[in-house]
Amino acid sequence: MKVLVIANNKGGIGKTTLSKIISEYFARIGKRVLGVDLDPQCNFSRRFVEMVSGDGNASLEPGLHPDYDPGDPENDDWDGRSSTADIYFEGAAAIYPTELENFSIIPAHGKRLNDVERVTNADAVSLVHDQLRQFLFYDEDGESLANDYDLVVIDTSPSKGPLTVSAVRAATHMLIPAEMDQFSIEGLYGMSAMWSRENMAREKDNELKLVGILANKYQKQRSDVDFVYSQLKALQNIGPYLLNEKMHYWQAYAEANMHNAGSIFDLKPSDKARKEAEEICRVLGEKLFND
Amino acid sequence: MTKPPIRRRTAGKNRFTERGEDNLLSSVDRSFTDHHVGEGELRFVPMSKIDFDPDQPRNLPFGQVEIEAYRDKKLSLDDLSINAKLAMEAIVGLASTIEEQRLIHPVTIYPYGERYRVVEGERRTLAHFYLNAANIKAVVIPKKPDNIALLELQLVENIQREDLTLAERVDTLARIESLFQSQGKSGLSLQYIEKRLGIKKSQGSLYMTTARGPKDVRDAVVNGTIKSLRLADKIARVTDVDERKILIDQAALANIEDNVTWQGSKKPETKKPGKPAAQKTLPLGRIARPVIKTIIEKTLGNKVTEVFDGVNWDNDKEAVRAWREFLSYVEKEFND
Repeated sequence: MKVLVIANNKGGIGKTTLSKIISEYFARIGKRVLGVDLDPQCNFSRRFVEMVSGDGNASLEPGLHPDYDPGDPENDDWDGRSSTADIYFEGAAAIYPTELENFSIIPAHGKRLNDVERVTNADAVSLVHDQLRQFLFYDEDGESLANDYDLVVIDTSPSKGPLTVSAVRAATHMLIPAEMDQFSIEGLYGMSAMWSRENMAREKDNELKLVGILANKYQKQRSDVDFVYSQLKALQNIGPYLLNEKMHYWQAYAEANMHNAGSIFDLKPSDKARKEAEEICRVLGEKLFND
Repeated sequence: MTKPPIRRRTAGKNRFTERGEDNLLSSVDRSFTDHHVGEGELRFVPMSKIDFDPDQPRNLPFGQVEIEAYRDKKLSLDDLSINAKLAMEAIVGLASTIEEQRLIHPVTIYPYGERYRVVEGERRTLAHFYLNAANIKAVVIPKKPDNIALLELQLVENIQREDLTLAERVDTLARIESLFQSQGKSGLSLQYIEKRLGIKKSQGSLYMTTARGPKDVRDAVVNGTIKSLRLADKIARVTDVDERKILIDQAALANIEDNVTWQGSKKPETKKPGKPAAQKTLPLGRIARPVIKTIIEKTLGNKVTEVFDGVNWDNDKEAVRAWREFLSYVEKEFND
């Protein structure tokens, strides 16, 4: 099972859009995919699961799980709602099916994920850090999630807090989307440190692999964006990680982010955004599965 | 009235570099270079999760229970043996330094279930227990190192300590070698000692002759009769037992301490006062590999296998490198 974390501590650079596209693409080509939404904004979840407003607050939380039957005594120990926050609080979470046969998701819970992110007690922080990895790779009597899924896609919040650390620790691969501007490049600095730190604590045969840095919101007409890209590409160390494929600023990506939007892969095969998304995912697939 | 200067919209390149991003780019690029997988991550780990490794020999005659009892005044120094009393006082001293200046060198730990075990840093960890500290600065390595790596880690750590005696250094090298041999490997080569432990070959050779030498010489080093490494090396090379005994007795009377200072590569070199030795570059002409080997063998005799163990004399690069090392070796012998 490959676990791909999509991370950058800068916000609005397309982590959630990429999480959706990658999950859909691989589910459509027959991989068994599990989405894990760790972003309290819940946008990855909203695309696939009905989310409801939390009790007395503006944040979102998952609606009832479709398999939940309140009359069934087996369901006495939960209220029919589950989210990624439960992984941290209880060590377990229910997986929601989606409209796509091969794609399931553990949705986010805005308020409770924020509670996890705000943990400061050192003991609790170190628990949070290890919790997702233990949840994903926990194996008792062969019941590991690793038997059920080929790929886990983790969407993270724009932070370097405990939740993102836990995602990085659980991951086998890391993808860093970045806009080609100053602030995103500063973000790369933080992500590089996170990647490096994680690897220092890992054994050599379990290295966290950086699949690449993906230039996002690329605009051909912006000479400064193009310049930053070519500067980065020419650098000795980052250059090889910067993917040749870029995500351009297509309207279709923005539309796909809207609630209940259709899939970008339902657009015409000749659609530029669809073709681009397919090419990016194909390249990622080679790096994830053919290594 | 003069017109204000016109500000032109410059091209992307200039706007980017004007803001100092060139510097930013190179910093970010550097951050992507050194990825030391498995070398340990620096973290602050709760003390409540730290244990000592029950399988690892301890250096101190007490542990967490005693240090906490002493801190809580449930244990008096009078209840301890002389050794334990001194060690306890040293830990308290270390604790006050850590409290004032924070811990500079992190301890090394590895995860064990949901807890961590100490690989090295027993005294610093105990000092943290004494301080009732919430966290400790630690390098977390992925798993417990094997015995050789553990001893190496301790030796490298120890080498930084100036107060280590000759006997302790010889003893640790001998222990690593016997560990090697118990695993069916050959003895320690000088290359290994230099590369992994940072001990220069010329000095490694002296240490290893002593460490591998006859028991009477090693005993004399351990009990402090021989305090000179150079002397230990010379006596260890004497094959006759009686002659060795006389030399050891003489060493005890003479109380010679040589000026062989620790030459670990991590210790900064100190400049010798006075005029530097005159050096002259001499062209040595073309020289064939077998000639290099012969000259070195003739000059060093038995020592050749210690200093140039593993050199492939048929390889140009290796032979030339050996020749250079040989020249510095000879030069050093003369200077000393």
